[in-house]
Amino acid sequence: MIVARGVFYRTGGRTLVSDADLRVGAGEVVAVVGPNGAGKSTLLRMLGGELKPSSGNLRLHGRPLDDWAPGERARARAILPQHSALSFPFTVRDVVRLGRMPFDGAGGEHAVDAALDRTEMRRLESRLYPTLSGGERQLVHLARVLAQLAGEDGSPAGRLLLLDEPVAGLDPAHQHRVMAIAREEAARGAAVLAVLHDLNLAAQYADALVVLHGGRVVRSGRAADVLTSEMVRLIFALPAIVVPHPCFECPLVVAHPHAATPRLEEISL
Amino acid sequence: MTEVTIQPGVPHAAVRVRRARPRALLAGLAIALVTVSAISVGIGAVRISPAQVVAITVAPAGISLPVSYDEAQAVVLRSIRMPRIVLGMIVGAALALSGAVLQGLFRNPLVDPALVGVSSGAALGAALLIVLGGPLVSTLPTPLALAALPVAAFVAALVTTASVFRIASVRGGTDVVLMLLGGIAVNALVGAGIGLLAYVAPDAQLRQFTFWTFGGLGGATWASLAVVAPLCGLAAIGLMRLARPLNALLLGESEAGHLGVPVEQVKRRAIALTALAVGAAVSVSGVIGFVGLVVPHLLRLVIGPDHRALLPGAAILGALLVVVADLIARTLVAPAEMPIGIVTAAVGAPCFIWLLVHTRSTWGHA
Repeated sequence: MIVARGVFYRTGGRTLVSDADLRVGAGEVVAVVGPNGAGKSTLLRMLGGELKPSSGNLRLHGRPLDDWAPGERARARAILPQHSALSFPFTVRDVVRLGRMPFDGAGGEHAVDAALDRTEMRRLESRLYPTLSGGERQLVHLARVLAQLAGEDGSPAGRLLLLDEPVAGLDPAHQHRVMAIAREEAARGAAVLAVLHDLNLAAQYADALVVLHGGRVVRSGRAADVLTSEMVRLIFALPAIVVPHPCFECPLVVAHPHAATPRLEEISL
Repeated sequence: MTEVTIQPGVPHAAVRVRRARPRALLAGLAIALVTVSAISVGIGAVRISPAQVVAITVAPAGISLPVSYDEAQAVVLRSIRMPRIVLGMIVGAALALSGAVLQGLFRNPLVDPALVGVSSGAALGAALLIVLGGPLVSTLPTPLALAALPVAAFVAALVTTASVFRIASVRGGTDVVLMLLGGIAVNALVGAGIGLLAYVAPDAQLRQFTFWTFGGLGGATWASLAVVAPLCGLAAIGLMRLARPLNALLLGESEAGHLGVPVEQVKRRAIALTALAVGAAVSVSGVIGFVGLVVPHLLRLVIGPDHRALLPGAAILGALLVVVADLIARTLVAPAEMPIGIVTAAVGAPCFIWLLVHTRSTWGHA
């Protein structure tokens, strides 16, 4: 659905994203991971059409992203930002309704209801946004984004969902709820790309991981192939052991101060 | 150790917001505006009853009502009171509507049209003309001489706003914080210019300029309205159409872009149209403070921040406020007349302080 080839982003003499290749197809969840300042958000903003790549090729549904009119793009993809500047006293429902802006017309209230239900924000729908906690605000914006992704027909099929640190500030239950929603959207035909910091969340929910470091894609593929103790130590500067997940078929990363010493590595493996 | 029973999923205390229904409120404000205007138009040195007002108004259409009035009343009503009240409505609506748009654009409820340099620019234009333009104006025929002051104020207002806008333009975009800071800097510079002109001005001109800065609707004529009304009307139509994009902009510029809003175009339109509306209005009325700041803020507390209701509501409430302020200004010290800017500031500032004190607990530190 979205394909990036050899994408660069340079600003103020610095290269934030360098020669990045990436593709997310319908039905897929791809997690972009990497240490702070690796260029994850910049890459996401380019995929969303907000930033123009300095060079390289970005195509959505086979068409160069530049060729899409802003309104058309808004009907084909939705973006959950890391932070929102909203401080005006809209009700929760009003905020979610803003997600329907690209679609003037029918099906709006139904999509808003569905989004509020799925994010468990229905009970807060008449609350004023500024009175919510940080985590609740994040969920309201997720609901807004889901309402946008629902399109005219209530289905996210064929649309792109970009999530920039969607679980930041959420309690563990809601972190998993949000990731489960991302999976559901993919199951219903959307392409989902999420910037995540939690490697285990990425391993458990994503079909593929893209590891960014210094603006470059240094690893990509299935979690089982990508997440190794060596990679975590080298890229994230985090001594860790990687063990098989006790319940799921994916790796589990356990931070461990002595993991770098050979003996513990041997024991863990 | 005490054990705390954990209840999963305890719902939040239901804090519901009570908000007026926008349509009912808009209708109420419109009725209040018509009523207050009809009463206000009859109050003054020459008394005209509401029935006489109606009779005089419909007389040119050939309808004669069984109400007696004398010709002096008709002249006062038609050529003094009516243009004055219509100008009050236009100025109030232009200021409040522009304030509401700019507050939404800057995502800051404390923004006022003066911030982008419109008002100070207009004042500089007026000062230049009053203090230095005397010899030039005296060579003009009377109608042009009367128009010279509004034209100078209008042109200077647009030039000042355009320069603030230039400062804030970075790489094809407009930086909002840069715009606020640029506005402060340009306002300071313009203030220095005004101060210098006031310093060198002879007493009579200083007094004329000082009164102009307080604002007043006394200069209203049908001729000046014929210029101001179309400019403000066109700007108002353009501004009302920005309601939905402005709602999205409250989320942030990136987020508005994600929703398909052409952000740069909306910003440019909003600035240009507010400069046009406020520039045209203050060029005739002088600076009338607090309307553009307080009216949108007050209304937002009652009907919420949705610009589709807020923008028309602000226009009507702004018009109402200026008509009432003008009534007070010309009756309180009758037969003399008080500058209207003193009334709006004297009423507006305490309202605003009250508002700040009562809403400070909700000020974004949550």
